[in-house]
Amino acid sequence: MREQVLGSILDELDGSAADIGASAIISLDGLAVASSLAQDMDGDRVGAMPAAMLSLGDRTAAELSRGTLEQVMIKGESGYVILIYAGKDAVLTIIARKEAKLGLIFLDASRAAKGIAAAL
Amino acid sequence: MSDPLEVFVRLTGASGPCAGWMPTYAQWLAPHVPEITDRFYERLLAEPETSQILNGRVDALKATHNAWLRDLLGGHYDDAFYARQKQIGKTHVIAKIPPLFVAASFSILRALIFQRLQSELESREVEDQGHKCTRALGRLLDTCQFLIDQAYEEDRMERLSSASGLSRPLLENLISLRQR
Ligand code: HEM
Repeated sequence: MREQVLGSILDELDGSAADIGASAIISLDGLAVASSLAQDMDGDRVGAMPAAMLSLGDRTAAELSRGTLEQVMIKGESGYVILIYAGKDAVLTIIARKEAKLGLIFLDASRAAKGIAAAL
Repeated sequence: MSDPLEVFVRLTGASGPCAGWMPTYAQWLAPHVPEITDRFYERLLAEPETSQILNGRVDALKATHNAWLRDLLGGHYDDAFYARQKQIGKTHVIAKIPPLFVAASFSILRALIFQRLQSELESREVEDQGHKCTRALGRLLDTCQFLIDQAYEEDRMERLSSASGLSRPLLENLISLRQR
């Protein structure tokens, strides 16, 4: 039941903007809870890396007096990875195209994160 | 995962039948304990880096070390014994003794203990029995060293976790990721 709810939140998120390639919900311990990421991605790494990045982002924001972390954004040659908290125990990971309009994605992401936090 | 100490003891047989002989070996080795301790600290004091740490407290440490050796040879290898070894590990971690020195000093200690044991066995003409004894004592020292090493490992993981904010399970996940 919970998996279905989480799966449908991700489906809705992926469908909300053409710029979103895929998304995943990951526990802070680095385990994938739900995912629409490509099957050929290494599931263990896809789980562990975002969880680690978010924790480090959290710590960096605190150390540099930037207040509570809102999101971590990684920009690569082929696009973005956006990480935001979905409640206290999970990370919402979004993969976006390099032409993506980030403002819209952040808006959709924070709506999805609230839904995920409520469902977890 | 199962308790690492239980697995270690099961794999090595550290508390197996030979451990029952320990009080006998302890009796044979007891007269050598102060000398083993003296030689042990002589070696550590001969090295500038370890000497620097020990200076000013050698007498107190010798007394502690004698007590530890008697405990080691005491023949009671229960949970409390292992808990004491873990605590000794934590004490060294807190005292910031580099693990390299602990590893080297265990090696020194093995050599010192086995030398004296060997001469005791020869003089008593019980060398057959003595081989069992040597093995049991060796395993016991390995177990103590393992527990002290674990305290260092635990400390490193805790420090990494608190500096980075990465939870312990996440760190374990990262460590066990397949190498590329
Ligand atoms: C075979 C290796 C060793 C054994 C079995 C051993 C044993 C012990 C024991 C039983 C204690 C008392 C622990 C306690 O009160 O909880 C102790 C304390 C201490 N040891 Fe060792 N030790 C070893 C190696 C070393 C080495 C290599 C050094 C430094 C070069 C060292 C430096 C110290 C110091 C400084 C303390 C006192 C810590 C404190 O109370 O602040 N030890 N050791």
